[in-house]
Amino acid sequence: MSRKIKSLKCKECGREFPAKAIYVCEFCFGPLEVRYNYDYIKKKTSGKTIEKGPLSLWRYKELLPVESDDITTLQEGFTPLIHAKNLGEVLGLKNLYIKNDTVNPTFSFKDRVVTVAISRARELGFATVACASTGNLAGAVSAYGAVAGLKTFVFIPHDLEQGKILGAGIYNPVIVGVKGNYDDVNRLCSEIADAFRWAFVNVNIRPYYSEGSKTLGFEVAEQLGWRAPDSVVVPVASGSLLTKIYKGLNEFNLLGLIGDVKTKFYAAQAVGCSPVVAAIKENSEIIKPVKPNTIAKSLAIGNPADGYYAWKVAKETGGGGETVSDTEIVEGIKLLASTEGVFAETAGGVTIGVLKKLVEQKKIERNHTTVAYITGNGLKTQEALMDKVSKPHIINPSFEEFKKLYNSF
Amino acid sequence: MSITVRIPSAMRALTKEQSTVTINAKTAKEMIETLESEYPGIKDRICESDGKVRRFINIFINGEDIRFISGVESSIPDGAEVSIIPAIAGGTDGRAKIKKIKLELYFPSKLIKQPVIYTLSKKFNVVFNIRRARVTEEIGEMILELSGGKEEMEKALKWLKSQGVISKTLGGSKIEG
Repeated sequence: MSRKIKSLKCKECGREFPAKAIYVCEFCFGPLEVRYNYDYIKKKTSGKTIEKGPLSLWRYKELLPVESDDITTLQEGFTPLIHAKNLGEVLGLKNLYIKNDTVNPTFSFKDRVVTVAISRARELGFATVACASTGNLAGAVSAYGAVAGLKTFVFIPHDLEQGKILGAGIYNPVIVGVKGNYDDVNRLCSEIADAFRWAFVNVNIRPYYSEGSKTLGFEVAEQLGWRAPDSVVVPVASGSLLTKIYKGLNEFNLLGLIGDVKTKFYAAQAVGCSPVVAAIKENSEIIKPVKPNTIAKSLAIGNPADGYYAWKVAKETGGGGETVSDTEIVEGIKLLASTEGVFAETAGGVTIGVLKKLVEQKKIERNHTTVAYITGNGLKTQEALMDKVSKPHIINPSFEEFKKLYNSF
Repeated sequence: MSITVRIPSAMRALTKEQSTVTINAKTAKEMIETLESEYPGIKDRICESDGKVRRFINIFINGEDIRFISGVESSIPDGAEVSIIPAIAGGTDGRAKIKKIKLELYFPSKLIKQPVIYTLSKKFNVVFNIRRARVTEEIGEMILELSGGKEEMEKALKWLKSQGVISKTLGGSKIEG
């Protein structure tokens, strides 16, 4: 028996279950979440023990739901937190930070959840891992599955960006392209998860998997010098990431590692798929499912599993949400690259576009310590930028030709 | 005001393993109370202590989510089908959405004495309503309304065909995802 994991607890009715590969409350069908023994964790954890830990998210292992030390890791996490002075100047913010998760091992924040999910799945005795994915997760599960020596199945919508299909395929998993959108893929995977004894990282392993996202809260607090930011802008797909950053900051507070958490949470979505932001704007706790239509495919979840909880965090923290069009997404990607040198995927364009709007609406103030989460790498979604960025000027190897070109600028 | 209520498998221990029950109710609220009086314990599974429907339980009246009608105050037309469906993380099970179609069926003479429709409703989780029927020595004709989840309906229609029943769709909602 682990001393740090107490149980899985229903987020709705509070009933508790043993910490196995289950994810739904059998009484009220609410989602299950890992419950910890914080008294025990508190005794083992301090700022100093964390600072001495590995330069990966496993420096927070006491707060992650894996019992053994035999973890599957590619040194993910502990990514740069950049003080974005150039972008801040353009937007009118003095204390803007970019959490750059484009530089994880498989180039997105999904490595955080997958290292936890696969380590836990191995611990629970699974020989096969699988996932339903909008693309980034497929790459991460494929890579970690390969390293762990597990059979790997990834299920994706059939029309994903080539970069994401290739980025999974290189690790040699079985890739299943489903004719339908992500919500169709997810539904199919729920059925498969019922029938096969597989570890579906975001279905039956979801309570453990999602905990990995807390590290995006932990790291930012540590990197800011052990304090919570004033505002965060978080891209929302299923809504899980936003709720777990919130949980992460609050756990740090509970352990006495940081002071009170007064962080305002802002949800960022694309106009073509904004069920959570729509609910925030209507101040309605009902998340109406939508059919996604956006270039931000990694955010194209029309029926978000944690949508309600993300809505709740945005509301209770005094934050909110905003949406941006496909054109604004591309502008956001270009703005971030041209000011901070970070090449984000479309979801990052959503975050930056939304950040810009929130500043224009004066919801985020000049002196606020603000963190924008950039969760995936731009090389994965090149299609979105074709014909929209600088192209080479072709010349002969002649000094005269170059001078002519130079004078034309 | 008789209505048919489809019970999800996770709650059938309370309904003596019945997948559908027929009760009288005019609103969703009344339906829940009536179910509770006949199958004690079921209300607790459907509602919070304050009577609000639990967040991960969906109630559909003829395929429409009551959240988008009037919640528990939603009225239920006579003869309607109500489904209680758990939303498993990631959303409602689309297969469970109710579709209703009207069929014209022709039974060849060899099938006239067989309890085809009875078998159909036993084999598949579908609800039938015979609107008209005529039997002669040579042929049986029937106008039948059939409703159920998409997959069950598809299987039921396929089975009917395999039995030699000729069917023609007269109307109703198309069976689609």
